[in-house]
Amino acid sequence: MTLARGGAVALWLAGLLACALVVMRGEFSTDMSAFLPRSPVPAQQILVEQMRDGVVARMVLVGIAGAPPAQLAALSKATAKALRGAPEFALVANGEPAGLERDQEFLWRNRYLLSPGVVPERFTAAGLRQALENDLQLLGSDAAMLVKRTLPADPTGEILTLADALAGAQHPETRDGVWFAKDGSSAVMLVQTRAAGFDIDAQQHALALIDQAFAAAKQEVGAPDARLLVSGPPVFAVHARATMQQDATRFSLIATALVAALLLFAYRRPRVVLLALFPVVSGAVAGVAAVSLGFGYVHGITLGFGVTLIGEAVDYAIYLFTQTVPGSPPAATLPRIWPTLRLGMLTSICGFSAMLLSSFTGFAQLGLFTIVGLAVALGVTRLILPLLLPRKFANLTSTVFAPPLLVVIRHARPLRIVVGLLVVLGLLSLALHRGGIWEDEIESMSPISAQDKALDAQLRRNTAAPNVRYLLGIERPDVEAALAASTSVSAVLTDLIGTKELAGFDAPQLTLPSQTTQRARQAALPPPEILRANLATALDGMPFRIETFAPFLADVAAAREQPLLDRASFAGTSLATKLGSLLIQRRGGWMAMLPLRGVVDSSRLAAAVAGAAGPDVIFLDLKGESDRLLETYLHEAIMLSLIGSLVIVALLLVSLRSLRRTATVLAPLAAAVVATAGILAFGAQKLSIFNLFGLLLVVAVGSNYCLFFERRAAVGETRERMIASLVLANLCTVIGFGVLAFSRIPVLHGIGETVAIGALLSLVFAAVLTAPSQAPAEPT
Amino acid sequence: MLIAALLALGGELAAAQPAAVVPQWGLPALMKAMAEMRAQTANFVERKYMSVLTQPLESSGSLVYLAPAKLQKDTLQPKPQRLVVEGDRLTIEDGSQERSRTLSLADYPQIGAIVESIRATLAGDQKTLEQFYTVAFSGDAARWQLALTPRDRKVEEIIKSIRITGHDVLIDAVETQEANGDRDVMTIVKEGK
Repeated sequence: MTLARGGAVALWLAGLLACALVVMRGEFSTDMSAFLPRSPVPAQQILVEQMRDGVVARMVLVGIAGAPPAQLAALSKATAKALRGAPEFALVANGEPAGLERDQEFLWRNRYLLSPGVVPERFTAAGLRQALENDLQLLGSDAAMLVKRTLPADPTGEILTLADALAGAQHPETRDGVWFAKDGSSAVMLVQTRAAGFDIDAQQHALALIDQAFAAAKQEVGAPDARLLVSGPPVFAVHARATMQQDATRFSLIATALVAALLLFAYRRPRVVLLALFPVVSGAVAGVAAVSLGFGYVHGITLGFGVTLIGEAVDYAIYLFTQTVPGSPPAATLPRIWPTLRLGMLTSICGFSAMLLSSFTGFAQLGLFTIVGLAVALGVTRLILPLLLPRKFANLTSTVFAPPLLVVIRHARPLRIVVGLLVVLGLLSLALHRGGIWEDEIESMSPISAQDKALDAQLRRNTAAPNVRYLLGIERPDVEAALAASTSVSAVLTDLIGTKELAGFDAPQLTLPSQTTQRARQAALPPPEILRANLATALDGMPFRIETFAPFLADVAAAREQPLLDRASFAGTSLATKLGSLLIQRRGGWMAMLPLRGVVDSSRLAAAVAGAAGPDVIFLDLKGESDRLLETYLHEAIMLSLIGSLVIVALLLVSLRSLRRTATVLAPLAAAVVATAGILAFGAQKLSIFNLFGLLLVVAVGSNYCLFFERRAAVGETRERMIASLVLANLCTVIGFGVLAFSRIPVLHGIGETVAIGALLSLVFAAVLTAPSQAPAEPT
Repeated sequence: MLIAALLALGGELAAAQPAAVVPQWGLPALMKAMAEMRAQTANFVERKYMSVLTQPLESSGSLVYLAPAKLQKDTLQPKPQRLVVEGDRLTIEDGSQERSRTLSLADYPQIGAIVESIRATLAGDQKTLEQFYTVAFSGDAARWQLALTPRDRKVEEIIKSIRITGHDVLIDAVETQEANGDRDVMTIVKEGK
């Protein structure tokens, strides 16, 4: 016996150790896109990829406020200068020409490969004559400044053609040489990190560098009151992670402390409290290990749910401790309550297993974590706890837990009317709900605070950061093919601009022409001696001095021989950023992205593009796609909840072998779910997908109470102890989830508030609806 | 220059201002008189002497100034073009008006300097004028001259000096000497004269 007992405990400890090792070696992630679905729709895949790793996901919007304009400009310049020196940043744009010098230099050096104006006719005697006549007119005009310096090397005006072609981008207003918000209250800046958007450590480091640079600039300029405002996806990611870590740690600690305090109050013995936490800790460690093994990494949010496990798994120990008859060993209690415990756990697992099927990786992790956690917690309660408990184990000392619920049970009949009323009110709250009952804004799912969102909207306006809604995407195996495909689609789009279906568009080949195009441009440049002759003919009779154009002849000769440009050639220019957002490497190859401006009718445009450019061009409506994404989630969540509920019903039917008994167990649950939903939706509040999953958990957790009430066996003192255990267990659940309701993260908050309310209602409703019919009220 | 001989008189409001009453005419007095003038319209002839060209380029048209910050130059010959400076924004429109370029003077300090040589003078804004240039004043109300030398090194790379001559509140000529040896001479005549 002692040997077997020692063996079991040793096995348990060994298992715990193994799980702890897995957890320690495991990877943790706080990437919020784990809560985005693994969608099979290509357009949504692109959307999700862009949110994780696109150029946009690496763009930090910076505002500097709180000082006179001249100081703000000086701060912007000093900060930008420091950041330009740091290798962490791919681009620092604040409107200073310093940032654009490299661009201008790059365009100038490669104008003959980049300019769409380079065609053979341009360099014939006639073509040159036309260009020179135009130059002469320009020189005589007020635009002379624009051409005078470039004329000797660029009489055909390729740099102007290029500037026009690339001029589409909007910029903020400039004051004192740097970008300013329209109202002049802040200087603005765009900073792009080199690290990917999901590399939150790197993003955090980059943001710290911006802070440092600004602090140094403040010293330098002497503007102690100036403020730095930063926003953009990297800031959101870093904030979300910090919030998540804080909330997960803080609420786990608070919940553990509260539950421990409650247990201490109930049992008056620290050792018992410690023992009650054994199943919880074992379950949590095993759960994390299972997720780590099953998914390859554990999401921060999953850890946050360790809290919820405290709320549920501690119940098992409570049932065991509290329902033990004084004087008898705990081992004697187990056979009595085991069937109910087992069925309760199976019900919970059925509920949570629906989450396993979710296409949100995050929810699937939560499901696995909870299922493994609950199974292990119950196993430890069944097999290990009895071995560790002292023989003469004193049970619940406090007598405050059972009486309130006993009062409820005693007045069950009149209270049924109240429950009925609550259900009706719940139904009314849902039925009379104005607008859609489900939250359909994808924003609601993001862990970003409203304050952060408002700042982002403000900075985005101030920096004139583009707000693109429609995009075309074309994927090809390599860059060259993608650029070629983009070129042919662009021709279709140009026609659509002609028919006023579209105001404009951008495309990668406008920045990086395909190798074919570049070679064609090189071929369009005549050999030196022919060009010289053509120029001489063109200049005949014009007031230009021929020797003026020596740089032109030299540059064209060099351009004919220069190596072709590829993506790497753009390194260090802001054009690289632009190209990076228009030409994207994906698993299958390269995707050209064409952002569209001024789309008149999206469906007509999509049809026109599909008709002319082929079916493999993806028409992407960012807003529509995000909304559809949420619709997909919501639809899936509702389906999974229904499946989960049906599985629970089936399980109860099979276990209880009675339609009536199953109905008795389910009635309070159904009432609790309706009332909870009604409370949450009251006052035009929208229900989120997280509330929906919360309701599923209410069913999983609340069924335990109903099962205990439904049991016929309990009478007299045993019944009172059973009721005390339910109240205590329920309090632990309400504390665990209730604490989560204070989290700033929507997923934790949503599930927390739902389960806290729902679990409480489940217990009370079970007492009112289920208990009396099975065990008549005791005589008073 | 023959046009310099055709000295025009009077801005619309300033015409009534008897400048002769002011005993000591200097830069502050000129600036003060200019600052009181609200609007002015005149014709111009501009000649550009460039090293890349074997002969000067001539253009002509009209000028409109509206206090304090709007300046409009309508070139009629040889090709219509309109240049408008309003506050910090400079717009150049082709005759067809289909293509226009707008730029911020703050983005192009050299262009800003050229614009302010005329605009700040017309506005009587001595502070702005001296922010861009070292100003040397000579002459009197009947015939004054401002010799402007750029302060900024970047502006100096393009413009060596600007000489503005005038009488009363009217500018008669602006001669810009560029750093590369090119020269721009604009003579201004009051409209209708």
